[in-house]
Amino acid sequence: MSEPLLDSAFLARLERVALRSRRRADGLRSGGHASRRRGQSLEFVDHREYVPGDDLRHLDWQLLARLDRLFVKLFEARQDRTVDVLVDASASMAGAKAIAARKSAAALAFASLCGLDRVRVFATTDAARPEGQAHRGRRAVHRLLSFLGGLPDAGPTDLASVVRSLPAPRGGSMTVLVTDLWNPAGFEEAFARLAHRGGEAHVLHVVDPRELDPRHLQGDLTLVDSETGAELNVTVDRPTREAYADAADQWLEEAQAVARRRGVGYVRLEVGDDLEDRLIAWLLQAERAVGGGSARPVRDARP
Amino acid sequence: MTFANPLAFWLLAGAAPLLAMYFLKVRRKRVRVPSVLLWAGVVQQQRKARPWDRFRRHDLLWLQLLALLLLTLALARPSVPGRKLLGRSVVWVLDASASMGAMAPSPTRFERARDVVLAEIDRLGPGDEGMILWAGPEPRVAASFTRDTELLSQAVRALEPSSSSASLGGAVDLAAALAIHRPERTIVVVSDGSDRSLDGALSRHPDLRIEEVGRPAANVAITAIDLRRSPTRDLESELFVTLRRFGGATGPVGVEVTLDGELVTTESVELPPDRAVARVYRGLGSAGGLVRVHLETGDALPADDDAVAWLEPPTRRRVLCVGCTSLTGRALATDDRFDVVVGAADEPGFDVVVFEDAPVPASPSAPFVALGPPRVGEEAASAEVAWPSATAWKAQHPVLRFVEPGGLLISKARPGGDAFEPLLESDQGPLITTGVVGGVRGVIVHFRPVDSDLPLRVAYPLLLLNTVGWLTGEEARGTSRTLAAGAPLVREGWGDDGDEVVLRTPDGSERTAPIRDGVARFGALEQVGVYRITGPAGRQERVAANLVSETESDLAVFEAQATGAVEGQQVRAPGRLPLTRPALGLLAFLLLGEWALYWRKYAE
Repeated sequence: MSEPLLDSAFLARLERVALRSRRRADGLRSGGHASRRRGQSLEFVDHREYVPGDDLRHLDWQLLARLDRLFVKLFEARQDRTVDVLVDASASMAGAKAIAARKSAAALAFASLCGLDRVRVFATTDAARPEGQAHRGRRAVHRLLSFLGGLPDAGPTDLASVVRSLPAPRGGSMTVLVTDLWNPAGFEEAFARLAHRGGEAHVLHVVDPRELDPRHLQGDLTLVDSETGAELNVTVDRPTREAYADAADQWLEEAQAVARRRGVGYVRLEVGDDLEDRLIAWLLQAERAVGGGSARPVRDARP
Repeated sequence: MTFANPLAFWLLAGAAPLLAMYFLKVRRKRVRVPSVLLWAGVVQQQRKARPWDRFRRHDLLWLQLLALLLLTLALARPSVPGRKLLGRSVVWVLDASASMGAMAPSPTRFERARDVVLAEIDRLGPGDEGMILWAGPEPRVAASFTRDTELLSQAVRALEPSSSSASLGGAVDLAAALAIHRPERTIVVVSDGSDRSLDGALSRHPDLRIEEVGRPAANVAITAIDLRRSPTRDLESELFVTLRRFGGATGPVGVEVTLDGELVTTESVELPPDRAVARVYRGLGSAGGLVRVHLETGDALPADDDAVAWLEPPTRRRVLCVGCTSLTGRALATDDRFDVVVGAADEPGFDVVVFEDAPVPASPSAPFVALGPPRVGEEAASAEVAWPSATAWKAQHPVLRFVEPGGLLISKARPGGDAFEPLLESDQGPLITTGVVGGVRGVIVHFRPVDSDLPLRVAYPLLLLNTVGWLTGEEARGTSRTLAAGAPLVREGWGDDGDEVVLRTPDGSERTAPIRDGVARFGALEQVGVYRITGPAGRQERVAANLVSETESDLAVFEAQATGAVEGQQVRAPGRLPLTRPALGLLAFLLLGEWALYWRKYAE
């Protein structure tokens, strides 16, 4: 790829956006995400009665003076999160869809790194083994970009198997599958496995409009599947094209419906769209869904 | 089903190369797509919903094979037994007489007649046939029997009315003769009924039907025109015109006479209805030219409001009189056109030489008149007879025009022999003959005028002037150079057999007629205007043809007695029905469908 996946302007926009999880993070390290755990951040959450062993630094002295009872103040703990990005690098993605998918994955990874998350990037084919290593800090973005840029577009896809083979998430996690969903075995099982991984799951569906409305196809053709090599003889005329367009609409609706049913976020990215705007919008939407929390690091609570 | 040309089935062998070419040619284009997942579903669904699609896959091939089969069938000329439609045969006779040019009131009667025929052609059944006959002065077939209604319509649209009378009776007889072998024939005459000969045709042909067009209308017409030499001034002519009002009320009509476009005279003539009024116009001068008479009427038929005549300028002739008596000299001097010179012997430089009781030389210098027994050749050897009586004469010959030889008293004469053509016969031999002596034409009177009472009669100067005029190429007094359009033109004495006479018509075209038995005959003069006749040795004459027909100018419409039935039932007879045309039609339809399918499939 001659052009860089992320240019400096887009990187600057991404820095201002931190990805927020819909669910409270449950990581091992403190990070930039709110957690169900009570910890040492500056965000006050609640009071509870003192029990022996509590840190005396957390006693609410004002309540003691007013009520003559011992209460300790509870603060929200800040936890990090693991973001797994799974990029479809099968043969069907070749071309503009591959560029869009890798750009989306890179943007997501960079935004997550800026949010102090641990980021792992995987490719879906056997030919491209998952990079797999967890990265933290924005410096790691260069390694991820290099990995994404070097992915070939070859081979078949078995989305369900790839999702199943992902390492189990530790603590809070978000799994994002960037794919065109052209999966010989369908996408239902892959969506189900994404949902069962725990944490937050999203599918970025990369769509090429020319594939869904093939006006360039006409006459007696032998269609060759780019992944499986399967051949299909078809005479394409106007009624056939119309039937195909209807089937494609149903397919898109079905993907959205399955994602909703499985609790998986679904975003459709059309090749040719302003991809950067769509990604920024999606990241902001995800942040609002979390509850408007800030992505900046928070200090420990001080009495 | 039988086939008139079974060899055509060899064409079916063409299916083999067709199939080979098709399967060699059809190679599916390979297209790499991201996934055939949806395509497989679509194809399966379409096969269920449209089972005929498996045939659609080779639809063009099926159509081509079917086209080949139809072409083979068509070339094999198949037929099946059945009852063949025995169609009607209709002959439309269009009256093309001049009266059909009358406004009816608009458009003309002829245009209405065309519409009537076109409407009937449209109603022809599939087995019917039609013929178009143009009934002008000489009927002619405009379209022979055909089932092609478009051809019939085109022939009708191309027809125009003539400028003369027509013989509808003759046209109907011709139509009946042409359709005599058609069992279901009908003759339809479309006419305004101006020709009364239809009455006879109705009785002769029970299968005749008359379609009447036009409405009665008043009309003023020139019914006669002629130019005659003035009885008082030989160098001038008088114009005779007869006018008539057909229908309407008495009223004035403006008459304008022009000579070569210059106004000669104009007047207003009060014309009562249905009565002819004759007018004589003088002052035409002696220069000659085209005389035109025009009526200011604005009536329904403009064709009879104009008439023309050709005024030939008189030619002066030099006449040498050898041995002439004073009676003969004075008789010749009564015509101002002749310059008479009295001489002692024949000498050159004259147009005519008159020998009275003088010997005619063996080679006269000019056409001659011999008064008295000629003393030349064998004529001189005939015996003298006494008191011969005129028994027969050629009254129509220019020499004897207006000459009445009956009762002529001749004391003695030497009748002519058989060598010359007799003009006046007597009980004892020819008394006046014409022939050629020494290569020169002459008229010989076989008795001396003084031996008869001829010089005492008015016939004497007439005979002399006729003879001199005829010998110098002029027609005799009273010869008319105006004819009715549609009449044939006959000219005598214009040369010898084998020569040709050329007739130049008013529209500039030329017709040629050979001279046979001394007569040149041309067919009907269909056009109105001046005709120029040119004979051997550059001899020229002009005649004018005009409508001048009371029958045509009378625009009352004849109440036709419609007989016969053109809407007769079509008859079917056993026969074989050919299927070639249906096969070809189906083939054309099939090729059209294949073309449309190809474009829908591959050219969207």
